[in-house]
Amino acid sequence: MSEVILAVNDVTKSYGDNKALKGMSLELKSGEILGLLGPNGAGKSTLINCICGLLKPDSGNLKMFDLDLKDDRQLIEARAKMGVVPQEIALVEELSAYENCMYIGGLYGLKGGELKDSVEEALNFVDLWDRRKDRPGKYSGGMKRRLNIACGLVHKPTLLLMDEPTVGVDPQSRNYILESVRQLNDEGTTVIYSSHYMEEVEALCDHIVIMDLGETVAEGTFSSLIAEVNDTETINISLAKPIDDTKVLAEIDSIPGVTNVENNGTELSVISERGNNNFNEIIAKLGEFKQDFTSIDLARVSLEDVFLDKTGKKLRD
Amino acid sequence: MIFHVIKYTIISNLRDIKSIVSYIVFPIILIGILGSALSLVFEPGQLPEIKAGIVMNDQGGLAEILQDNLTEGELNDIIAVKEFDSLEDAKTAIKNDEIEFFYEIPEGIDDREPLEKVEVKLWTSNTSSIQSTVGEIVLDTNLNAFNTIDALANNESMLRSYEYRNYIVNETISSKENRPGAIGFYSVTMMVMALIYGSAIAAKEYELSMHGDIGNRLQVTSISTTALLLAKVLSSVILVFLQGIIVFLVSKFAFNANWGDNFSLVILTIFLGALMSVLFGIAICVIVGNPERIGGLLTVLIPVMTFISGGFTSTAIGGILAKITPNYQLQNTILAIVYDYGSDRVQGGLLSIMAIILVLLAITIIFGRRRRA
Ligand SMILES: Nc1ncnc2c1ncn2[C@@H]1O[C@H](COP(=O)(O)OP(=O)(O)O)[C@@H](O)[C@H]1O
Ligand SMILES: [Mg+2]
Repeated sequence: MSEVILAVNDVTKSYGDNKALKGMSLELKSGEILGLLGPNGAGKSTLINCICGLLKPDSGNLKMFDLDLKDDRQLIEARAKMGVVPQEIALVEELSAYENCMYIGGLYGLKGGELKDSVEEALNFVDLWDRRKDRPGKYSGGMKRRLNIACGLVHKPTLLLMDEPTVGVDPQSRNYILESVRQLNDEGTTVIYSSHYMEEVEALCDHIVIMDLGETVAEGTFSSLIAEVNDTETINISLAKPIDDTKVLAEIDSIPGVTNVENNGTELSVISERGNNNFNEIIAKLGEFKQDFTSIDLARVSLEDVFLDKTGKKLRD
Repeated sequence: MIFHVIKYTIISNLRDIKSIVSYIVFPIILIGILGSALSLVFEPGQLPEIKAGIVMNDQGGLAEILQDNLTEGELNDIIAVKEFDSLEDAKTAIKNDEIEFFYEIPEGIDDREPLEKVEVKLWTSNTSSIQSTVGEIVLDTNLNAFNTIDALANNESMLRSYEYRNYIVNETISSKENRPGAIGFYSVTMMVMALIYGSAIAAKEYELSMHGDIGNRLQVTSISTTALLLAKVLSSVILVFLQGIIVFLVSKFAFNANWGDNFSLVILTIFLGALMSVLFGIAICVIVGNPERIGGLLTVLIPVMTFISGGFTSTAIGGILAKITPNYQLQNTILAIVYDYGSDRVQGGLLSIMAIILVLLAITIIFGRRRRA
């Protein structure tokens, strides 16, 4: 049994009338990578900012170890063990990469040789040591992201909060970042990783919290989440031409076991209960309406399906 | 940690070329431009002859002494004063561009009642022209001298100019050496402007630590907000102080500006000015609260304040408005130090600056608390 590092209990936060968090609770165990998955506006950043104390929650409790994060004194104490990689790139333009890390690292109380060594380690970790003398202005988007991460790592936090660290990054840097998170975790860092990319969360996280509109919609491991929706399957069909007669959609929808039909141009996506063998019936219906198709496939169940199942919406857009 | 923040704040500001240009290079260039372009106002010897007039409504006694003083004497070298028989004639002459301005000596200067005030009028069509400015300096200077003599003769002061304008130079002219020349004057006012620009640095640093992406990042580290703000205030004071010292040194050695003999007092005042300016910027931030607008607001406000406090023209334009600009007290205190206007005025000026500092500090603390609550 690993110990609970962080306990978030029924936290609410509103911006005016907009309830960004409607009573979020979660528990984080030492050594986990917790994935916060949700579309834009789900409240991921608001939750992370409540944890690191940037925002004061309207109600609810936050505890890290024994420290009450709603108390200013204890919050400051907790922050020494907490690293934050903000969603927005927060680097001082006039300082070199090295100086940025020195600056932030020093604010966690590191000094002298210890600070220098830690900065070197952090910059090596994100593979920017050779470019340490450059200012962020000379960096690519992916390098800025990596430096942004390094700044949050200098003081070797026990708990690392990463808010969408791969947004706007080239695939190469993205893989590098994912790999780094895994490595940090192997070395013992507990991580909260927020993202709206289900592939990242699937690949990285042992413990997944799916959020929407300020609430948890599902929580568990990847396999337990998939198991929850495993009674449905998604059939994706590429049509030769857009649908002429929308009656076909209604007819497919009325096939027993079909729970959802979505059509977008030549893309048709049907969710159906597993085991009904609706595959053939759908093809038959399309034939009836002279609707040719170029490909058809039975999609692997993903977190996307979990999200769709729980909220009736797609994760992206 | 406070020292750590100061170190990196100063490094990053010293690399911010754009700010250095507007906060240091710009004032220095202005000293050069204003100092030479407007040197006429300050060094009457170089001014082409100014055509002026005088209308005497009184004869004999003081009126004639005053007439002599206004039309002759060292300061009046450059003014050719023609006597007009009537007010109407003189006005017509202004309209026809024959003269720039004229003095009107009132009736009854000699046989006025005790305590009765008599006004000597300066008529001009264009109050902002250099020529009428010179006319006003001459008038004010003479009236001051007369009032002093009058006071010595146990009379109350009785003469005053029609429109009293607060000339920084007129109140204290005692000898030629003690009067700022153009370069000297603008060195002081532009150095003050550079200091006041410091409020923009402070506002920027406040924003950088309290708001925005970088502010958020600093806020989640182990440093407390109070310590962070204190560090930002101290770094800004150091930067602004350096800024003032640079303008001071450049004007002294490159432009040969007069900064008097009492350097330590000048430097102390520059330091107080830096502190006042930084607190001014921070106070505006905590009052306005909306950080996006503050930087822009200050960059507009500062030249305007410099203008109305007389920093560009030597004439405080806004009356009471001028006096509440942070420039005004600072400018006048430094002029008082450099041109030896007497320890009373120096002390008074320094005390006013310190009072302003305390008020700004109180505002910052009160509003700052309220914002955090
Ligand atoms: N500073 C803010 N002021 C007002 N509303 C905000 C602010 N930040 C976020 N919100 C709103 O709160 C909700 C949650 O936002 P956020 O936590 O940023 O979501 P996410 O990080 O999951 O994209 C959204 O509806 C967003 O519009
Ligand atoms: Mg977000």
